[in-house]
Amino acid sequence: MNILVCVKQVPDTTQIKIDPVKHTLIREGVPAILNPFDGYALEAAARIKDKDPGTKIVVVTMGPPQATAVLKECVGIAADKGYLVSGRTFGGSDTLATSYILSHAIKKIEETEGKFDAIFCGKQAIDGDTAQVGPEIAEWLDLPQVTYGLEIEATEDGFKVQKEAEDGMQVIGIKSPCLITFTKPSFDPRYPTIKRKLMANKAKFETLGDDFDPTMDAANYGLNGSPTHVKKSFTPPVKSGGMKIKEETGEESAKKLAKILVDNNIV
Amino acid sequence: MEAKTKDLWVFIETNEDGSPKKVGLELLNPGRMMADKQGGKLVAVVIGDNVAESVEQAGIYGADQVIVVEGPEYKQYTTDAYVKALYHLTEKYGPTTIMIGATNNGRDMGPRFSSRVKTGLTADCTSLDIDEETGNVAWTRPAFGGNLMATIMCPDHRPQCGTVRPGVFKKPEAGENKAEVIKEEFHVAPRPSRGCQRGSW
Repeated sequence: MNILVCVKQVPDTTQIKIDPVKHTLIREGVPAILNPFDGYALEAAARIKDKDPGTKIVVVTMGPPQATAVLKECVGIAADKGYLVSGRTFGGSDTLATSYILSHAIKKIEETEGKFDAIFCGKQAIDGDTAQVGPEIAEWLDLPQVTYGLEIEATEDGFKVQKEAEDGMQVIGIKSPCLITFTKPSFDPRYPTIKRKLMANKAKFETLGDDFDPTMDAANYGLNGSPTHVKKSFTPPVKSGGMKIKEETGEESAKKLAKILVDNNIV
Repeated sequence: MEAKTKDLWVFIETNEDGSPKKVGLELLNPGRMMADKQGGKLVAVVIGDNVAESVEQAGIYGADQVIVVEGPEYKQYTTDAYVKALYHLTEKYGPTTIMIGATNNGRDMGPRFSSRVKTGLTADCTSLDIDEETGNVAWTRPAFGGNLMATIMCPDHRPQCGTVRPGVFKKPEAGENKAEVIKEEFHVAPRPSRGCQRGSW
């Protein structure tokens, strides 16, 4: 089995603070981490490898040169190899443009690593929160997709994926090759071992730079190749404290609540 | 893709019994305001099986037109079938804007659809308006785990698309159903050869 995991280095958004005067994000001192959802995707691949030790796990990330730190982290956890996609012309890409570049990078990596049976992604990155790049890669590569994956098992010709739905859980059978995105499962991903960490420190990662694929159309990536543009950004207003309903009796409170819900078309 | 109309589409996601998911009806509320500002119709797009109730509700909650794709292959959501159907409709009618509820299925379908069209999609919006200067939809959404809000526009590609978080907007007031209903016969293979079938764990 040959699995590619797409990962992203993100700022730890739980540690981001807002400048109270300028109302902007304070990015200084915020640690850069492996996107947690990508960690779940890697764990899913690692569990397949636990059962089938012949499995090869390759990771790819797109970002500035310092993003190799997450490739190293992935090798420390379970990955066999990693690739960095990094070019000045790639900057400013929105999700469609990013997925265009990554889909070409994946084809390029397959020239060396062989065809991938599956591409795993995190459901979304915790900085952009879009959950779009995975399905968009699947579209460029014409692969079937399952999103919101929790657990996965290899089957004869593909995978069985347990996925999160609004009304519970679904189990979907999907044929290989395919793309699956993962959300937070009920278990914690494994930590790197000392042995693997030492290995990761020596690992070298190939970079796919601006010109890695001359067939790519520059009109499809970068700031100018992106259909969406950020017009403005601002910090959200502080949430108000909600509404307190406390009538004489419980019944009266319930009636008042019901009236408010009905009046506001909520039920 | 070229927009052939100034129409704004709201995708009405359906349950397996053909009833509408609430978020689709909620979106008819901001949809009305934006369709009026864009100078086009407010169109509800209903895909599912036995969807009479959804079609009726879309009309009651203010759609000018309801486009319906119906068939047993749409009873359960599958990426392949739904994206094919929505793509077919978009190509045929050319709306300028499409809004999709940001449910798990909506967020599965949205990016697959928008990348097939090669247009922009703004995810999980919580506030919507029309930019007065350009007439583009101004999609506002949280990012960085809710620490930052961003307003996104898609100036040169059509249709401009967004998924919108459920529960942000209230359903509009119910009114008289004046919607014109268009039934589109569009069918796909009930079981895609490449999988995506329900099973048990």
